[in-house]
Amino acid sequence: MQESGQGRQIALADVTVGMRFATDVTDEKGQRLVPAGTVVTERLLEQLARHGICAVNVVAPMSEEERHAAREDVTQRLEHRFSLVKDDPLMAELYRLILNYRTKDL
Amino acid sequence: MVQISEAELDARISELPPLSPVVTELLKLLNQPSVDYAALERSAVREPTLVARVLRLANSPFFGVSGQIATFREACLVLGSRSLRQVIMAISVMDTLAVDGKLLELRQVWLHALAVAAIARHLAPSQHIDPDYAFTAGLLHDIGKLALAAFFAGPYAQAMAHKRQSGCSLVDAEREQLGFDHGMAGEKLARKWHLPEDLALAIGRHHRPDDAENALVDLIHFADVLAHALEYGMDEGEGEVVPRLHATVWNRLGWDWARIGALLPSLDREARAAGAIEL
Repeated sequence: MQESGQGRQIALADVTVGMRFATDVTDEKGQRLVPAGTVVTERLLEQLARHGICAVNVVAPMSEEERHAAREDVTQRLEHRFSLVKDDPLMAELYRLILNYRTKDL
Repeated sequence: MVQISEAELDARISELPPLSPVVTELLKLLNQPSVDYAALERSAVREPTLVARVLRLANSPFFGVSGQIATFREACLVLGSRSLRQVIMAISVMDTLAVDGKLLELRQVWLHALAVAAIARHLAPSQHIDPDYAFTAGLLHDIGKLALAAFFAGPYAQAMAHKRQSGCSLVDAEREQLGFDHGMAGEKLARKWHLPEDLALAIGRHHRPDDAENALVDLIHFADVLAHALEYGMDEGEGEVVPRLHATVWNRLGWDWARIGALLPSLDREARAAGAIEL
């Protein structure tokens, strides 16, 4: 949720522990090695190097404006989804819960 | 405007084929206290496509043994006879309903069903419900939609259009345009195929759970609301609205929002993981 677009492509040598993959990492046959969203560890770097991976997409941090836009976007979408039921106290609780969950990292 | 009578719905359902004899036999064998695996395998080989799909499901990462299972017997041992029974039931019901993919976004219906299944499975133990059973109920809860789209393509398309134009819920649009909703159609199907009573109720009453007073119905009702709220299986543009959680069900479930809030990350993760399953 908190990354913008497809991330940025960098050389495996420049990847540092703690970054996150923006897209699936696949080998030359298209077989998925690591799913998008995985946090990079030392062990993963070794394994990817062994598989002959040279470059990967990592998550680019979001700017403040992008965060704001993303928050707005989530809020609007949820407002619409809950439009028929938000007068219901139970559904208002659920709405708050989901909104908080969807925006907590933004 | 109501376009179809309940009698017409009944007629269409009675024309549907029964579940295949092989499936019926497998379900019976799997229901024995001690399962005769040799007999099971002898039956299963008569329906190779079913075996292939059971293997595909058993090997999906969701069950945690990805790529290891090569034979039907291994699938039985790894999944266990109860899970396997649920899997076979789900696959054969889905197979019997052929739907025009243009009318319903089948992938979306499927993603939603898998999310409801995963959420229900996770929450089942706290309601003393067998998780595999809850999973199957989630998978099958919307079979009525598939049936309505298959039987009455024209009127169903109008119901969908009505939903888009008026912004009402799908269930209301169905009731207005067809005279009944997908829950009723699904329950009739479940009864025709002699699915267990709880399952028929979960399919039939997930939008009107109040007087069913059934734990599985309550669980599926809640999982359905939550899957909608987490936006599983809804078109980006079209925007299906979240159905209302019934207060009676919420009280019977006995949870509080703090607890559900704490579970959200794992429920969300499992719902997403289930989306990778292909039946």
